[in-house]
Amino acid sequence: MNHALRTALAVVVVVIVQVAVFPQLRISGVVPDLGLVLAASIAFSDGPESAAIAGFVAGLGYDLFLETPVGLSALSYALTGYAIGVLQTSLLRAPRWIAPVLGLAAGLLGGAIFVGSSALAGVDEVVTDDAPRIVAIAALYDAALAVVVFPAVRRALRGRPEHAGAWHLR
Amino acid sequence: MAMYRRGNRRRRYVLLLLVLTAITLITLDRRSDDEGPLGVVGRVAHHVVNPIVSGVDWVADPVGDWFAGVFDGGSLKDENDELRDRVDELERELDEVDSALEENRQFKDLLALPITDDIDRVYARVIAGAPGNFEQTLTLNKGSADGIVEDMPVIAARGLVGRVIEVWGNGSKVLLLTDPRSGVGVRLVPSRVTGVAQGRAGSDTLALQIGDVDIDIAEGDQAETSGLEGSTYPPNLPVGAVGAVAREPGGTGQRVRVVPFVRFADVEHVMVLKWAPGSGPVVTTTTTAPPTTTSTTSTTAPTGEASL
Repeated sequence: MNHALRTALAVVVVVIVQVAVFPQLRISGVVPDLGLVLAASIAFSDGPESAAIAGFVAGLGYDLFLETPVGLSALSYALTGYAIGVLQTSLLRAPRWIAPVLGLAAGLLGGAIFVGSSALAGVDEVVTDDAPRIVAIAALYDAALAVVVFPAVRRALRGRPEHAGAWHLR
Repeated sequence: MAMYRRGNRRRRYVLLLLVLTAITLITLDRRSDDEGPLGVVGRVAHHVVNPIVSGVDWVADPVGDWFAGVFDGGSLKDENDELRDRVDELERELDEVDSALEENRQFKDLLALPITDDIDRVYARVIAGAPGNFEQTLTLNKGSADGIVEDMPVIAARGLVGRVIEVWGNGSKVLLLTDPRSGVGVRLVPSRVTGVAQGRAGSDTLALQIGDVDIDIAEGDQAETSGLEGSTYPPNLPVGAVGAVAREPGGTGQRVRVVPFVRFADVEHVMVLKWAPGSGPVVTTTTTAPPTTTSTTSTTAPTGEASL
């Protein structure tokens, strides 16, 4: 199976798990953003361009199940994936704790972009006093999931030349 | 060096394209209603994923309860562990019986709600909560195949839950009363004053503004649907109880907080009322029985309900 197909399959699995499983596994009423973690992990292994595209598609898939306008999650996931990809290219080495740190960063950045773009689009129900708490808890949840998702994605996408930044996680 | 620059430029073009596409989609979705192409794609996606969600709910419900207990109930002390294990063991033996009794009780309570006989109803099971963090919704296992259409009221054993906002073949989505986009016309008892109770972001209570400062409203007063002409909901459905009352600064009115009777996190079974806002009961040829029995329902909207 080629790399693009494996990535597409990973995106589909992530969207299904997000809408079918995680509503049952809330922490303080908050679900994680598995698509953001996927985008961050692809950014880590494949770089910013692939992460932006995978994040966009995963976000778009998630958007279909949300009441917020279609495109909001796609926008935040794509920008976050790109930003994490650019960030990781500047890393000289990748310590073991990089996965949760990037997961946390992706959760915070993605959540902030989602809330910010909701404010610009006039989606008032997202821009609330409770939004920072929700984004913070979701980001911590993302960080915990990243510990599992990063190696899983790396394994699922194996079979192509890996990005130099990933060698320490092997 | 030149190749590196070309790669960088290409990456930026890709990102720009994605951002522009996302902004276009957001704009299209904001401007179109549910009947637009994005709405159709969404319904198809729900239709495809719903059986998976339903299956996962069946498997993961006990896991979800445990998960909620661990993360929302605080840490457990070591000395409690042994006792809890013993209790769990005993409770497991009674689980099946309790589950059946609880289901039975919920259906009895549903049947006891003050709903006129001319409103047909569809019994449904809640299969999922909100998929995202910024909406308060429930997903049901019944949809257009059972005659459910948008805007139909949904009630649980304790009272009003919300209204249907999205329907597909084998499922539907319910907007809870507490969602900021939700508003319900209520009448307070015993004062009989009416108003619109609005959902509040990040809160479990509803906000109700009463313009008259002289009306006597007290904590514990009951709120029920007003059923005024054109209302989304039939009259006299229990909504909640007044949790707090405060005078607006400057004496311009009273600010009331209504605590819904229904604990939305615990709802398992609901009833969808075949009621069309502003028009009353929807005429049907058959009514679905409570869960475990499935039957086909054909629905005919009364005159003037083309929008449904």
